[in-house]
Amino acid sequence: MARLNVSPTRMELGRLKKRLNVARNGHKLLKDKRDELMKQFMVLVRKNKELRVEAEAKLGETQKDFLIAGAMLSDESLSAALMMPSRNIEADVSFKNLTGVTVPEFDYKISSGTGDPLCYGFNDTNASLDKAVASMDSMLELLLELARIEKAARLLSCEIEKTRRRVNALEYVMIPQLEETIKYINMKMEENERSTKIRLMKVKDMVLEKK
Amino acid sequence: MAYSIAVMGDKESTLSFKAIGVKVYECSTRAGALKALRAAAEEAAIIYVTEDIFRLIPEEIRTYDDKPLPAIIPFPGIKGSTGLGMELLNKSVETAVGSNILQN
Repeated sequence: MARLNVSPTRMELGRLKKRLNVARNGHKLLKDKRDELMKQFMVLVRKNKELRVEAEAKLGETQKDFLIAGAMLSDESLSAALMMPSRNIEADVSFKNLTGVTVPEFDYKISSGTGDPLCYGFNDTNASLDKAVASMDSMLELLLELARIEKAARLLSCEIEKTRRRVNALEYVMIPQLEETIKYINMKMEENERSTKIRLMKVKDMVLEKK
Repeated sequence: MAYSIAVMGDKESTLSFKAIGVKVYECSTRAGALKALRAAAEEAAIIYVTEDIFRLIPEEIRTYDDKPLPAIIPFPGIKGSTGLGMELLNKSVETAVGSNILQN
């Protein structure tokens, strides 16, 4: 490990020792953060997996319902029936702090129109379309939950990666570098001390010889 | 603040979302998808994207990964699931942990 390029002085030594202390503290804190994030992440990811399986299965069913309903209708009447949805859905977003990561939480709000998703007349449509729309309507909560969990998991995984890099950089680069430099300065200073002592001894000898 | 919920994809796949009042951005090509994504990201908190479209613009979607909003969620279109959702999930586990521990 390369040592830092500093002059071996007592000043520098004190400074480096302080830095080493900060680095060690930071390393400990970041490591704790990483472990906690990982704990949260594992819970989320398991839930995410379950939700995704469930949502994909249900969505597949619903899509099939729509396909069947559409097959019995002409293309025009199907698009005409669904052309103007009777309502508009808005997302209510609030933010939560999950171990230092800001994750969004979603809730939905029907901003205009009635709560009833059925937006077409009985003419030109059939009962399977009603069923398909109703089953899609009941999926909404699940889809929002999926969005929340999946986004949180992805944000956490990004944060974990960043934290892990920082922990590793501190552990394998910063701290060894600082330790090595401190050792180098210590050795250099001891060496200086010894050479001063020797010089003094020599001078003393010379002085004694002259007398 | 109120955001909208959006869905991107081909006409058939987005039909079911349209019925319940989700805002639809119809697209089928890469250029169209990019345009739709840019438009949707400005006002939507959640964007559901069909797996087909997701595969067309994965890099662009990844740029939203570390932002709190919008959440871009892939879903299987009318053609059925291609396993993209699980693939992404596994990938995020891999980024976080370093290896995939969900597989078994």
